[in-house]
Amino acid sequence: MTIDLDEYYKIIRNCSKCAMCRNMSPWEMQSKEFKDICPSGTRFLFEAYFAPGKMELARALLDNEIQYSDRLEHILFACPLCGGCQAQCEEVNIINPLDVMQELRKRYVEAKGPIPAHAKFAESIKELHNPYNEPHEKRLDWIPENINLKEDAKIAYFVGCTSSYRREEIAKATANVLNSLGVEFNILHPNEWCCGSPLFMTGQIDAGKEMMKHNLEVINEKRIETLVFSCAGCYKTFKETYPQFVGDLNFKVFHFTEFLSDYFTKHKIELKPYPKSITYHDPCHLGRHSKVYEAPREVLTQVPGIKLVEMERIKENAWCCGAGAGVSSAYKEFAYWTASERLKEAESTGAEILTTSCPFCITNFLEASKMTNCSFEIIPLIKIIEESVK
Amino acid sequence: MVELKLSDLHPEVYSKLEKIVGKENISDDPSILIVHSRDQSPFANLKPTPPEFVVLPESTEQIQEIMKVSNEYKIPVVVQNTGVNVAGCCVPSEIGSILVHLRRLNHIIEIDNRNMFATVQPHVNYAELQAETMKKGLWLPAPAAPSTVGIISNMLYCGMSWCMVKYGYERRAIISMTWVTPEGKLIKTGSPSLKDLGHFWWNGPGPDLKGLLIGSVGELGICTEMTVKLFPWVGGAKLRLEEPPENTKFFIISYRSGEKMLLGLQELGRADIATIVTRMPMEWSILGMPKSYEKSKELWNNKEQLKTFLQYNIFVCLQAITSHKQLAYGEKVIKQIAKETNGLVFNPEMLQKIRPKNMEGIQQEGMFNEFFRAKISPRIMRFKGGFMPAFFPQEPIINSLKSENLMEETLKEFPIYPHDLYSSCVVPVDMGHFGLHELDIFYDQNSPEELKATLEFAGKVQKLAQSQHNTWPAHNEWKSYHWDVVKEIPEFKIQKLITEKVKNLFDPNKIMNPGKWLK
Repeated sequence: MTIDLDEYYKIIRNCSKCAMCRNMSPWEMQSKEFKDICPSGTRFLFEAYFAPGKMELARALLDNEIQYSDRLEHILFACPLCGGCQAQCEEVNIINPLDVMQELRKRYVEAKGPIPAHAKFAESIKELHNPYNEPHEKRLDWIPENINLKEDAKIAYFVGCTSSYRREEIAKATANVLNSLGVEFNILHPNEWCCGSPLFMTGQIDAGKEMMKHNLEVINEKRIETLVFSCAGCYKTFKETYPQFVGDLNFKVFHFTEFLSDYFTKHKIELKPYPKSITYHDPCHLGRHSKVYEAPREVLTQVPGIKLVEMERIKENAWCCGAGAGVSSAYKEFAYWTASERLKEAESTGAEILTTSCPFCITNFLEASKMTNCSFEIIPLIKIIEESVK
Repeated sequence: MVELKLSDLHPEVYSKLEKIVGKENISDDPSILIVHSRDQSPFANLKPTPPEFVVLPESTEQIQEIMKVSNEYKIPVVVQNTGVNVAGCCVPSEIGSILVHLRRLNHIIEIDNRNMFATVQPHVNYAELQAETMKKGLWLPAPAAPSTVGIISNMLYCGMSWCMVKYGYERRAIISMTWVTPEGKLIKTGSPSLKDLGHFWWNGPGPDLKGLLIGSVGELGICTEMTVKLFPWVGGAKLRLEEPPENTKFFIISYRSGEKMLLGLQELGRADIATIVTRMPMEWSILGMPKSYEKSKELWNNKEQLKTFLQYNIFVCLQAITSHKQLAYGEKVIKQIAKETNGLVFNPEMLQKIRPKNMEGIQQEGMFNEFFRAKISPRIMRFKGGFMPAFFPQEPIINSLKSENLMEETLKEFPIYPHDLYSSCVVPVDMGHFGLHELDIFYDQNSPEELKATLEFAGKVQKLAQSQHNTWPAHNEWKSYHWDVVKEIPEFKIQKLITEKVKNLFDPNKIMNPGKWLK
């Protein structure tokens, strides 16, 4: 995200167009049906939608060979920035297509302003501190009466907008699990604002920085030492994006799967059996963007009775849920198509449950599942843990 | 010759093509077009040229219709498939053309387990077919190119495989083809040319027409379906990343001299024991094996130290196809050959122990899996971006030493190549009846000077090799130094005439991929 596109020009030009970034790693490929890695290219087919095409577009823009157009806007923004291409390229070349694409969005916004759907949620974030156009006062509506919060706790749970307003069950389950384990924690409300992820990912960097500035001030005022997240997007924004602007953070960040994996092991927690076969979807922001692949699997496999049945595309090779980086707000049909492709893959495992560790992925899967006949349930990972620690 | 300007006919042609492929599958937007203006080759980089339309047909019939429109208006057609091309063959070379992209022809039509063949459309790549056939105990030998390359593209482009010592050139696996001619007519080659006969025979009736498509760089039509032979695979359904596939064993035979190494290569071919026998160029080991660019760079900066370790090495892969005892027998033969040719045999575990410190930590998976589902080959391009086999002859194996010495001398005059690390790839083909010799050079795509120097050098070495060693240029498509070179050879006159007549017969309007083969 912090690359200088002008300096990057030579690297872009040297993309060898080996096409590794169009498919999952050939060494791990198990079938033709589940081999694609790029939702954008796979859905819209023209080469311009795949990473090598986008690198060529970056070059052409820098060389003033093309101008911004409706089609170019679609190419740049109808992409969940899942990083599937970058994960492949990292093992082959040094192009870093994801960084280039984010920079292209930033430049587009500087030149033309945010695209309408993104401008809309940006306005909501600015006014109400969440992208859902919901009153800030309602941010805490999810919280059950029986939750114990400790005013001066050094651990805080950063709830995030999606868990606060759209997937309240995830926020509740996270708080319940922390309570059940006896973890003293607090939340940042009324001062928790959107982490800024939707803004950073859609090229609205300055607006994102405003959110970052506010959240960091609040966390520092409360002298928080550890911040726990139930949202992969918020976690990635704190872990990867904020440090690009402010350097190392003076508190630790954990996705709840990391926190619990560590906690279960250290405290030898006995968990109740959950006798189900489960397949796990790697959220892009937790997996490829933050390189957290094992913790969710460790948490799941520590629960007695759970049989983890992996899909063919996992970890670096995971197929995206399709919702991220402003796609679900601007290109709903594309977001649901991408999710449906993942649901087909989950179906092929024969698992009883599809789970994941990101409320945004869960929401998109649930929406897409209304249009397909899934034989499995879609349950957030923290809900499974909640059942098991009760 | 193309007589009309496409820009004058734009709306008319656009609407005709749109009717054929549908609204969503055609574009004349500059953002869509510009990405097809160049590939990674010096040819296309020197003069990037976008097409006027991109169309995405989904069937043979749609391609036939597109060809009819292009003939009607005499508009050039350029075909792009997986786009993994390093020779400028699949990008327009003149303004005003239709780029037919084959992405939607992406189906494996059939895998016949009993008769060991698969029928595929053009956009099916090697990795996809391997993933499906390996489950059934079959495979198509992997290309010496990224496994993202289209099978049909690689076959028709004379692509190589790592397993040429056992299975010969990739194109020998072709059984039959469905082929749309530049005029939109349909040809079927091999046994399917007679109705309902099935896919088993490649030759005839009459002359073997498939030979016309191989090496003609898309100038004689578009292959929309191909049936290829599959071969027994004993490595299991999934590739194992940390160790060799089941029933497979790797060895490296290390030599102190090139002459002995070539003898070893020849003997290993004759012995008919191995699936893979190859002399791996040092650049491939240094640039291709490490997972990270930083490690590659570190090794490159210390390349002198690695020279003794890497210069004259032969990779051998044994596969026990019918009996596990084949591995023990093969190992015995390898040791015997090494003894007779003064080579030292190492297995990968032994190599780990003796390799130089800075080679430690380099992934073994590269060595095991690259030969079966190629992934690391594009890594060699990360060094400078541009890559070109400057010298690519087929010749008796033992000639390779003369060629190598000639190249070493010539390279000293080539300003951009680090000739302190000279070594080429030599692969015995067909039990060592002959060898394929490849010398790669790298250039910076950002530098017009390096682009020009690369092309000049490639032409020069080809002419030198031709005149001094009677080598045969393997890759017909490297236009700068194949057609231009061979057409000047007096003995080639009649072949040149026939070739041009064939082109005129198939493509009277000269619309098909112009400028790539015949000028």
